[in-house]
Formats: sequence, structure tokens, C-alpha cells
Amino acid sequence: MRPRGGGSWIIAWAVAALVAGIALTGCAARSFDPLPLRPEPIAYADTLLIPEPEERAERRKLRALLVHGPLQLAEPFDPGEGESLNLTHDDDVVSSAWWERRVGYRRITPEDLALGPTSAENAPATSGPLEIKSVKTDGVTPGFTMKDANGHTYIVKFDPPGLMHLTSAAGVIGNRLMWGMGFHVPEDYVTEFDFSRLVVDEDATIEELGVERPLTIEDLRTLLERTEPIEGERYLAFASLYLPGVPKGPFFFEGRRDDDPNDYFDHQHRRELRALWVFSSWINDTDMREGNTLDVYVKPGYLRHYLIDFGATMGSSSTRSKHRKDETERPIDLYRFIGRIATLGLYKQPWEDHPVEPLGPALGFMYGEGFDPDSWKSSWTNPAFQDMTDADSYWAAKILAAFTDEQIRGAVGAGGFSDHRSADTLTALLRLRRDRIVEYYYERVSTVEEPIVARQHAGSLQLSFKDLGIDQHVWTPGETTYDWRFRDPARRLGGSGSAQPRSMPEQMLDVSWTGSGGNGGGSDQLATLEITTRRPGFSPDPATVFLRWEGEGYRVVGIAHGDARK
Amino acid sequence: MSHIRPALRTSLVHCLALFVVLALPAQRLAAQDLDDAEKKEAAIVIARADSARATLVQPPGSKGLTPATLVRAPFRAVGAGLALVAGAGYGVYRVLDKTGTIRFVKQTNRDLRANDIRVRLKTIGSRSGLALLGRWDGARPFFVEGGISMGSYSLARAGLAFGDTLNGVELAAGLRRQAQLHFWGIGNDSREEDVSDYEHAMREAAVRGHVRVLPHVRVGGGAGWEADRADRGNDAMAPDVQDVFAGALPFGAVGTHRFMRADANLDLDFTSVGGPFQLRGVRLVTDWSGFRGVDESDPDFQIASTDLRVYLPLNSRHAFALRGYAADAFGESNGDVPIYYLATAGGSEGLRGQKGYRLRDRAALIGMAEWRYQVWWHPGDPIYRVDAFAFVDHGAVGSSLGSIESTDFLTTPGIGIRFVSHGLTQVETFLAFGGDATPRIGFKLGASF
Repeated sequence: MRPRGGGSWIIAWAVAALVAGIALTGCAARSFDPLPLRPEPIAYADTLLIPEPEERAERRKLRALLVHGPLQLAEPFDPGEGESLNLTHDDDVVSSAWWERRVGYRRITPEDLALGPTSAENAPATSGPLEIKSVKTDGVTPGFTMKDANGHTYIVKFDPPGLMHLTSAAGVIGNRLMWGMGFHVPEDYVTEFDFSRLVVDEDATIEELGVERPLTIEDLRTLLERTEPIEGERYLAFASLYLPGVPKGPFFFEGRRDDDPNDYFDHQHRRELRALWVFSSWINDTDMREGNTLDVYVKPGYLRHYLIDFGATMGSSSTRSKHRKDETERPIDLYRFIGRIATLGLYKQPWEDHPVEPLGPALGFMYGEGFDPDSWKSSWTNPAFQDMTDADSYWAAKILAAFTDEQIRGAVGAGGFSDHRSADTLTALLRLRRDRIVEYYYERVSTVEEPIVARQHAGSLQLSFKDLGIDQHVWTPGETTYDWRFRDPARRLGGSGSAQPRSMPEQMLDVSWTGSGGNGGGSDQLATLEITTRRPGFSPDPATVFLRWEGEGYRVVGIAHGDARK
Repeated sequence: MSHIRPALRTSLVHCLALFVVLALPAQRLAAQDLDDAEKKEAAIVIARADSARATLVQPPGSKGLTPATLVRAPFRAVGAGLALVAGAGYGVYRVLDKTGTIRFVKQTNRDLRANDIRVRLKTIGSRSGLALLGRWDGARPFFVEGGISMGSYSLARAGLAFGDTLNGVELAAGLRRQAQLHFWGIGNDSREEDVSDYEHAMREAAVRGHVRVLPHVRVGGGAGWEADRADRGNDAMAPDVQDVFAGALPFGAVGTHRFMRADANLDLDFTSVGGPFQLRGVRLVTDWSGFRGVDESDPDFQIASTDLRVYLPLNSRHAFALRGYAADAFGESNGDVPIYYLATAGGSEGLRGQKGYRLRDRAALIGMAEWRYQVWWHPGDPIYRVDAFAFVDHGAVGSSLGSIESTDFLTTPGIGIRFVSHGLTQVETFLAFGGDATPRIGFKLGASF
């Protein structure tokens, strides 16, 4: 017979076991050397040749049960996995089969960004027949697979009725901006065609009431009734060129792909995948999930990892305009669901009290002035997003800060809006959201970059660096104070102090110390200089500059931002 | 504009890595496109790539077991459990799909519809379990319908039907057999442990009609003949009424009675679905039935009930819903009201903390109040949503409405959720307290009210 209170006894033991487990795991968890003492990741090391992997499926429902649901439930208790692993000594990321250095790293003109990965040669032909290979009959809007006169094959989609440009423009603009941010994306185009150019491939079929039959031109006419022509029988369409290689299914945001020997870093520890949260929040890509990614086996024989389908970015939700809810609450938000039940419906979110007012049929809705980077949510829980640290988000914010207004206008121009007002409004919204993101994530770390020891004497040194917060006019020098703390445990030196910034891009910090000194240290013993950029009303975690004693002086060997645990 | 300092050493290793890649022959390695010689060459190329990869010195690529892993583990275990259950269901579906069963059922359904036969899954009565019902309308106005349930309930009817759901007349004859209805005794003080079962089979021939006399007012009426037979039930888990109540067997619990009957009905319906798919308004439904025994051993009696429902939205997300229900019997002669025509309380028809039909007597008085609120919805797609509701049910039975005392009432509060489509509840489930078995979990297709 079970003693009274057996249930609570078991619960108490379960909680105690969990706490003990976490404590033990914390102790046993793998600890890492400071960033500059680890090897650096090698650019494009994951483009070495591999045998052709098998294609795999997303299995969305299964992943919802095994990954998305559990992670969402664990969210309030989740300590996160800590720092990313694919970092250089400068707290940066190298180019790879996942991501490449573009905006912020090399010169990209607005015209370059308007083109993104596309080219005039690969754009859908403006004349000649368009051969329809297959059709999508389910869903609100129609879709084709189409081959043009140049022999290129495209996936073609259309805007919802009455919302011309909504999905097509979002798809192309999102594509260009995501390319600029560094990700591999397909060649997406906005195109126009006359119905008279359509021909049906003799092998194309259509399913009707569970029975397949040959596709006819009349079927196409019926399908196109679900969209709206520009005029007469002329249509506007979004066309995505088939990716150059063999599709191998989506990539996942945690773990590695077993059949890809190049897949070295756990995906949830890749900074670019974690920071995709910030990038997605900028273009309002609420549908960022495994199903919108694709691994492609490309020449000469490795997997390149693509992000695809940006039709649900900006103010578009693919088949309708977005609502305030879309970017602030997941479609299934379990804790808010429980919160509403438990409070008898008294709990509510700000979006509930505001009717949706689309910016226009071509733009849908996305927040501008009301945009809050902290409360932005993608529709799907994402393991990599869950592990994003302040340093990861700051890295992404630096890239967004590098997007000029002209580049944004260039990307928006690729959307093919038929009126200037839509393009102007969207450009303004993207600028506003970029600035909000930059300000928000710059607040969370000390924005120290490019540190160099400018001069040094016995007992002191002068450090030159950039303060991005001041450099990019987020704050003024008058609003900022630098608190610094120097430690060299090997040489038993230490010191601390405060300083004011200068009114010029290059900042100088005089650092002095006291202690026993000596020639201690070595390759595995580093000194650290923690610099906190104190701003009005907040004091973020410091940036840590790593210094190595080289007999006659210190040399900067690396930098890390924020607390590696959060 | 490049504020991100390119690291020199990173560029160097970048070049090195590129050299390694480009030094290898650039060729397609898709296995299916290669002949044997090419496969051999590809294997060599890949082996060289593997060697190159093995020489790379990179930072750690994994963290192993971390506190976050442990925190997430129990939630993942729950997810895995659900996936296992869902996987089993999916497995069954796949088997049905692979064997062509689903296609066969769909095709059969299409063929049946083409021949004016509609097949549905429903219930036939209390405790019937899922029933398969079919109706043929191929020679209108003539119709035939029939069905059988998992609980061995059955239904068979045929007749003529004219008109539609607003204005119509039906002349029909049929049989309905309910094989295991539960009975606990008569009155509020009936005991849970006296649960028992009986079978009720009704044969009838009747004409019924209804007409909408005003936009919100519908009246109905009918007359006919019926024979009701009560016998031992077939629920193996419950003893029979004839055994449990052998000393004081309720009237009609055994044997057959025949009646001529007349019905009248008034439905004042001022409800509507408006705004963001919210039910609002008032509905009053009043029913009367009079029974006259055919033989000397058959009783005469009348039963009447009135059901008032009020739906009061407070805003787009919250609403009050109220229901009052009263039923009474009168005019008995030559016997009592048979067991199967007694008023009842319990279940989702009223007093949700108790099982359906738990309380029976000649009269019943029930009040139900609900605070309804939306818990999941999307304003961009408002057709589907999930509502929650907190409720209090208050009810009692008695020998007459006048005899029900305030101390007789049982109160059963609870909470539940509903899936709503187009403003109408499709399915609901709730947790109710205060009944025999607390908490009681209820499930219902459609709304309680």
C-alpha cells in the first residue's frame, strides 16, 4: 500500500533529480578554451567533395511533435546552449556552404542587390512558348512548373485575387535581401506572360476527384481564374528557377546530417542559423522553417544549403495579408493558449485590441513604428533561434546596419510594384525596422570592434578601437562612458577605470595596471580587457578583448561580445 | 561599407581550402549517372577529399550533453510519447491506404451518393456508440433510412417526406431500438451504485409537419401511433433494471405499451451568428406531447418541456450564455409515465457533473450558465477558432415542478474547450466537478447549448 502523499513525494524526487541532473551536467558539460585559443573555422571547408547523399523528407508533423512542440514548452525554463561554435577569433563567421560574406564585408551596389543571385540570361524568356510540366491544384492560389523557350524550368506562383504584387513582390524582395544578408537563395523573378504563350506538356497530368488525367489548356484557364490578370489574359507571376543540382530535402536547425561528411558544426551552434532569427525579423519572414530550406547536391559534388520561398515575408502571408498577430504570436502558442484558458480569457496581447489595417493590397501588413524586435516571433519554434546569444544577434545587427537606404531601395525595386507609393512605403518600413533592430541588439552588448594596441609603456597601454554604437550614430559620445577592467592572471596584474569617448570614429582607451609583473604567461595564458560601453539607462555585458603577452608587450589576439552563456 | 574587419588568417585558410577543392577534378558525382570506371574514379576523388578533410583543424563542432539538453529532455519525451501514439494511428492509416481500403471507401461513398444514398457516422441514442446510418432518397418523396451502432442500437424508417427543414411534412413508419440505456432510480436521491440497464424498442407510424409562420417563429405538430417495448438491456457491465429494482420496478420497465400520440412544438429563434462569428440572441423552444393508451393496460399522460437559451456577447472575444430548462408530466390516468418518458438531468443536456440520464423523475428543472471566451483564433482567418468556457450547472428532478425544493438542487461547475467553425461548435470537451465521479470528463459532438 502506497503511503499517503506518495504522489507529491514522487514529484519532489523528480524535481530534485532534475535539479541535480542539471547541476551535474553543468559540471560535466564540455568547457571550451577562450576563443583565441581555439582553432578557427576554415572558410568553405564544407565544400569538399562527398558521395551523393540520399534525399530526405521534412516530416513536418513528426517534427512538430518531436521538436517544435517540446522546445516551445521548454522555452520558459531553457537556459540555452550558450555561445556559437563556428566563430573566428574576431567573433565573426567565415563563408561556407551555408552562408557567404556579402553586405557588410564587400562592396555591393544597390544594383547588385536588385539582381541578387539572378542574371538576365536566366530570367524567364519574354517570348516563345511556356511549356507547363505540372500544376498545383490545391490551395488558394494556382501554381505551375514551367519550361521556357531557353530551356529553363521554373516553379511559378501567383498572387491571391485582389492582392496583386502581395506575394510575388514579397517573394522577390525577401529573396534579394536574404541574399544580401549572406544566405544561399534560388534565382527568383517577377515575370509577366500572355495566356496565349502557354502550352501543355504531353506528359502533364491533373488529378480530379482522385483520378489522374491528361492536363488540358482549359484546365490552365480554370486554374488561372484563382488569380487576377493584369489585363485581359496577361498575368503577373513569381518564377523561381530550378536550383542547379540535385535536391536532397530540407536541412534541420539542430544536429548534423549523417550522410554529409562536410557537416561539421551542430546546426544549432552555427551562428548564421541562430542569427537567422534577426534576419527573418527584419523582413518579417514568419514562415522560416525546415520546409523552406533545401540541401542541394551541387557541382563538383557537395551539399549547398539554401533558404527558399520568401512568399510569406514582409506584409504577405502567401494567400492573404498578414495580421498584427502573425509576427507577435505563433499560430499555436501553447503558453498563451493555456494562459487564456487559466485566466478565463482576461489575459490578452496588444494585437487583440487593434483591427488590422493593411498598408495596401500590394503590401499587406507589417509593423513599422510598432515593430518590437524583442517580441517578434516566427511561426515555428526553432532550435537554432532558441540558442541565439546576444553575441549572435549583435553579429546579425552589424550586417543589417551595413545595409544602406539605397541598397534597400534597390532590393525593393526588384519586387516589380506597379506604383511608386508601395515601393516607397515598403522601403521606409524596412529602414525603420532595420534601425529598430540595430538599436535593440546594440543595446545588449558593448559595441567594441577592431581593437588594436596603439601604444604601450611599462604599466600601461593605449587601446584603439571602434565603438559601433557611436560610429553608426545610435548614441552620441556624450551619452557614453567606458568602464574597463584589465586582468592578467599569469603575470598577476590588474586594473580598472572609466573613460569618456572621443568625438571621432577611432576611440582611444588608456589602460593601466598594478601588480607583481614578470614575464609569466605563454600561448595558453591570455590577459583580458573587459570594456563596457555604458549608455543612458543601461549597462550591457562587456566586450572582452584578449591580449597575449609577447615578452615586450601585449598584442590583441581576439575579441568576444557579451556573456557566452546568454 | 565594411566595418567588419576581414581577418587575414581567415582569408589564408579560405584560400587553402579552395585550393584543396579546386585541385580535385570538378565533375559530377551523382552515382546514378556513372559507369563502373567513373565510379572507381569518383571513389578515389572522394577518398582524397576525405583525406583533406581529416587534416583540417577546426574548433569543436559539438557541445555534447549540456544543461539545456537536460531541461529539454522531459518535454521531448512527452513529444516522443505523443509521436508514438500518432505514429500508431498513422500506421493504421497507411495500412488502410496501402491496401486500398480508403480509396475503396471514398469511391463507394461517391457511388452511393450518385445513387442518392447518403451514409453518415452518428449516434442513435444515449450510449449507442458510433453508428453507421444510411438514407436513400432516390425516389423522392419516398425515403428509406437505417443504421446500426457499435452498442447494438438499430434504426429503420421509411416514408414520404415533402418540403425542407423550414417548411415540410413527413409521413413515416419505423423502429428504433436502444439496447442498453442506463437507469439509477427515480428522484434526486437515487444512488450511483444502483446503476442498471434496460432496452427500449419503439415502433411508430406518424405524420409530422413544421412551418415557419414568421421569420423567427416556427411551429410544428404531428400525430401517430407507437408501441414501446422495454426489456433486459445488453450492457454486460451493468445489472438489469428488472434485477436491481425488482421490489419496486418503475412503470414501463418491462413489457409493451401502445399509444396514440399527438405532438405540438413552438420554436421562437432570435439567434444569429454575426460579427466575428459570434452566436447572439435568444431562443425559446416549447414542446408538448399527449399520449392515450390503446389498450386498457396502457396509461394516458402528457409531457411538456420548455427550453430557453440566451447568448450575450460582451465584446468580440467574450460572451455569456444562459439556459433554463423545465420539464413536467401531467394528466396521468390508468398508470404512470413510463420510464422512457420521464424527465432527465445529467450529461451535456444539463448538469454536466453527472452522467447523462443520471437523474429521472416526472419533472426536471435545470439552469446552466457559461462564460465563453476565445483562446485561439486568427483574425486573418476567423472561421475556425477554439473557445474555452467556464460553467455552472444547477439542476434537480422531482415528482412535479412545484415539488422541487431549493435544497434538491445539485450544482456542478466546470471548465471546457470547444472547436468552433463559422460560429458553431463542432466538438467540445469539458471537466466537471460536483457529481458522482469528480472530476467528470465529458465529450460531445456539437455544443451543450
